Amino acid sequence: VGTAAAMATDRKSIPILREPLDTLRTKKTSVDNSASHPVQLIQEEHNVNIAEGKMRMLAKIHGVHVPMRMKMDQTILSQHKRLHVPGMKPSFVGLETMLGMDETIEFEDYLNDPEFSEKQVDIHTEMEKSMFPKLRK
Amino acid sequence: MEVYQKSRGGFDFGLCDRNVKLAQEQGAKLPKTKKTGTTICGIVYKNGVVLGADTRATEGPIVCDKNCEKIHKISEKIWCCGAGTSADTENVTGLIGSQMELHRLATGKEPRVITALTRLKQRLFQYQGYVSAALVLGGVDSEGGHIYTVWPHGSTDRLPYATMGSGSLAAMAIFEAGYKDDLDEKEAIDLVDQAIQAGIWNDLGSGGNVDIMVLDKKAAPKMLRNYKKLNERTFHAPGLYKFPKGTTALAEEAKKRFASMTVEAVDSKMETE
Repeated sequence: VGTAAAMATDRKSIPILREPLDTLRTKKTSVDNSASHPVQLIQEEHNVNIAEGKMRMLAKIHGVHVPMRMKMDQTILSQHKRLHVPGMKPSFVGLETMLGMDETIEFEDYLNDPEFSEKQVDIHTEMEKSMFPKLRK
Repeated sequence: MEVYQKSRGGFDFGLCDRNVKLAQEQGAKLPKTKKTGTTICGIVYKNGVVLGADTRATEGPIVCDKNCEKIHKISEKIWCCGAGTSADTENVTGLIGSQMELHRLATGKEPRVITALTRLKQRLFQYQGYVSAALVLGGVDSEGGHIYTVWPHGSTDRLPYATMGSGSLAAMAIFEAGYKDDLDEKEAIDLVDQAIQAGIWNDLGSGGNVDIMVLDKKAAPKMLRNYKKLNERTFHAPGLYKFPKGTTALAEEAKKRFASMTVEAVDSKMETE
C-alpha cells in the first residue's frame, strides 16, 4: 500500500517503467504516463494526495499506528465480491461510510456511471482480471 | 481505494487526444465556449445585501442569449452571481448548492456564507484555473450580510461592494462614487441598477436587461428578474402570419365525412365490480 501511494503522488512526465507492462491486457506498447489533459491528472491525483496528507498528519500527531489501522480497515473494506461489469456495481458501503463519501455528491456519482456504460464486456475476461490482477515476473 | 475509485464514473478525457490531433492535422478549431461577458455586482446595505447582474451571454462575437440568468441559488438566503464560462459558473454553483443543502440537513443549522465561500475557493483552487468562474457571492446569515468575490484561480476578497466581469470597471466607477455605509433598500437597489446599466451601455460583453436580487435579514428573498428592460425590440412583425382562404389549392374537401359523425359526452365514472 505504501509503494502504491508513493507512485500516485510521484507521477512525473518522465516515462519510466514502474510496473511490468502487460501488453496483452491493456494494449499499451509504450511507457507513456502523460495524461490527455491537466485536469485529468488533477481528477486522478487530488483525492489520493489529500488522503495521504491527512494520514501523514495523523501519523505525526498520534503516532504511526493510527494511519496503519485506518489503512488496514480501508483495505478490508475495499474488497468486493461482485464483478465490475456494466449492469452490476460493486458495493462499498463500509468504505464510503468510513471515508465520509456517503454524505457527498460528486461528479463521479452522476457522470459516466460505469453501471450504465454501453461497452460489451466478457465476464470471463473480467473474472480473470479480478482474480489475477498483476503480471508476475 | 483504487478499486473503489475505478468503480465510480467521472469525466472521460478520451476525446482530448483526438482534439489535439484534429487541430494539428486538419487545422480544425474548437467551437467557442459560451461565456458571460458580463457585469455583475453586489453591495451590502443596512438590512442585508443586494446582488445585480446583466443578462447577455456571448459565444465569441455573437450574442447567444439576450436574457440569461446569471444569479444562481446556493441556498435560500445565499445567492451567487457568475461571470466567465457559463457552464463552469452554473455547474460549480449547482455543486456547491447541493453540498450546502446536504450540510444543512446534516448539521440542522442555517448555512453560512463563509461555508459556501470556503467550498467554492477550495474547489476552484483544486482545478488550478481550468474552471473559469469569477463569482460574486452574497448572502445573509446569522452573522449579517456579506459580499465576497471569488476569482477563477481560487483567491477571494471580502468587501462591502464588489463588481466582476468585463464590465466591472464601469460598474465599480458608479459604486465608488455613490457608496455610503448603511444605505436603505431603495437606495441600494438604485445604486446597483445604475452600476449594471453602466456596464450594459459601456461594455460590449454586457447587455440585455438588469436582474436584481434583494436578500434581507428578516424578509424573504426578493428576485427582481428583469428589473429594467433596456433593450426591447421596437419593431416586431405583427403576430402570426394570416393567409386568406384560397391561397393553397385544395385537393379535396373532407368536410362531408366528418359532418356525418356525432360526438357524445359520456359520464366518465368507472364501474367497479
